[in-house]
Amino acid sequence: MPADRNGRLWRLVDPAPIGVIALLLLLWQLDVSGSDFVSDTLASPGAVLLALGRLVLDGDVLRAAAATLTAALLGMAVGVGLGAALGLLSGLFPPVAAAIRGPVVLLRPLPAIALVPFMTIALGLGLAMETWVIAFAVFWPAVTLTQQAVRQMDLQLLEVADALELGLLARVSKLVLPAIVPRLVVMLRFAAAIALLIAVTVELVSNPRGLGHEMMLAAEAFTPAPMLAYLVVIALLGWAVNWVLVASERRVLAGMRP
Amino acid sequence: MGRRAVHILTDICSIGTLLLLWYAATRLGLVPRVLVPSPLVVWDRIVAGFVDGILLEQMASTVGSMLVGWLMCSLLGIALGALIGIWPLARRALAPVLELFRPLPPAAVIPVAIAVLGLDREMSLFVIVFGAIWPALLATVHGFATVEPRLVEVGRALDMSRLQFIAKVALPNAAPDILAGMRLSLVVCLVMAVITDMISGQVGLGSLVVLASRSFDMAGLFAGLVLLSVIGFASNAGLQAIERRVLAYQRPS
Repeated sequence: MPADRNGRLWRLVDPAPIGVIALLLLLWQLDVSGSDFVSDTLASPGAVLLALGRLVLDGDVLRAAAATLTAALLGMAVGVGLGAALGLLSGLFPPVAAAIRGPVVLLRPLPAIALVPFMTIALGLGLAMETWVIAFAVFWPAVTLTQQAVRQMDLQLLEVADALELGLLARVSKLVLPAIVPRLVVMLRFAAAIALLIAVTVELVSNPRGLGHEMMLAAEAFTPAPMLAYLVVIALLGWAVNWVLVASERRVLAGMRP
Repeated sequence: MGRRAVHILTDICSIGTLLLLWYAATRLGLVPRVLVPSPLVVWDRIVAGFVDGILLEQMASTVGSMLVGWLMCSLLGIALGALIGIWPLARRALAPVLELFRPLPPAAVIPVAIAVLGLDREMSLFVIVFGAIWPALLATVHGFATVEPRLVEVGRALDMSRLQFIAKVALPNAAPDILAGMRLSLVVCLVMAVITDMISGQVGLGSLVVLASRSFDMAGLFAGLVLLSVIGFASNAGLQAIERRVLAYQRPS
């Protein structure tokens, strides 16, 4: 997959994309100032910037971003933890893999967001509900990617384990886990992107906390400037998280190289 | 083929076991019955919903948005991807801009799209395409970028025009990538169709799930979830089968 092209934002000095962005901004500005009436659907780029500044100074943005990130991290911890454990088991033991294949294929395509109403009834609105929806979304890729990682491990390592008569726990901690670290890191980046995406979406759909909720409030109040300001913040958070993950992935992988 | 049959048999057994566990859990009271209905009740609800047509209409609406969105994603994604893949200036100008939009959670575009386009089908389609175009687009770019250099030389030696090169060399070469990307796009299309339903309240399985939960109609809610997972499973399996057939020419026989 072409996922390895992530995070290369630093060719922005090239005039061609800057021209395209300038054109988009110009069209946006013209669209807003072209209409005679005061628009309650769109705000000009300047107004959005102003709203953004106000939100940052008030601390609203930070509070909301912290709420969103907390849920994303918790959900990721739960989903990746459970998913990686099941993935390890199914990667090591083919019967387990055969047993879970059917359920995985059936449940994986279920959109996690569709679980929000059910989780709301079960857990109420709030952090717990959001965490479990994120965990569900992250769980399936964690299972499959971990399972694949174990499968593609050097088989000689397992023979070594047999020769040393290692127990399951020693086998996993001393041979399997170190061998699959590079793939686990990639899986973590994938999971983090999903977690943030689902967190914002759950908040947009109904959960009264975080960036998504603030954006929805602004939209429902017909105040386009803060609405778009929150959209910008959500985008920035996405880039920041991706950038941090790509950078740390590079560092981990560079450290692993002999 | 023998192995495939064994695969399918184990899948049926494991899914059957899962259903049995669900039934047993509700029967023995391991889960609160107000929260999780028995699979039999859910099944009855699905049958009843199909008979009176309400569930069928909601399902048709969701599947319709998903398929139309997917077609648009595929066409636009392949066209844009081919443009970026074949024309260096387009790559330079567009790739960073796309990179800018890609990490945006598509659901966050919904409030903006509602404000600009209004609450209608077009808005849903726009959001679905915005969210689901990436796999098809990136796969096409990737497929074009990895054309065997010697084939590029062949194209040059034969004096192929750009369009001829796209049609005869680049697209067939990128087909496996593109099909895999399209399959991913379809999954995302289903997710996006459900999310737009849920937020904009238009007819569909997404709003069915929301409305059912508001009236504590757990059987209806589970009926929606079961249908969603069946749709996701069926569309994925269908595309995989098509992929195998279409790409048969690539496998050394």
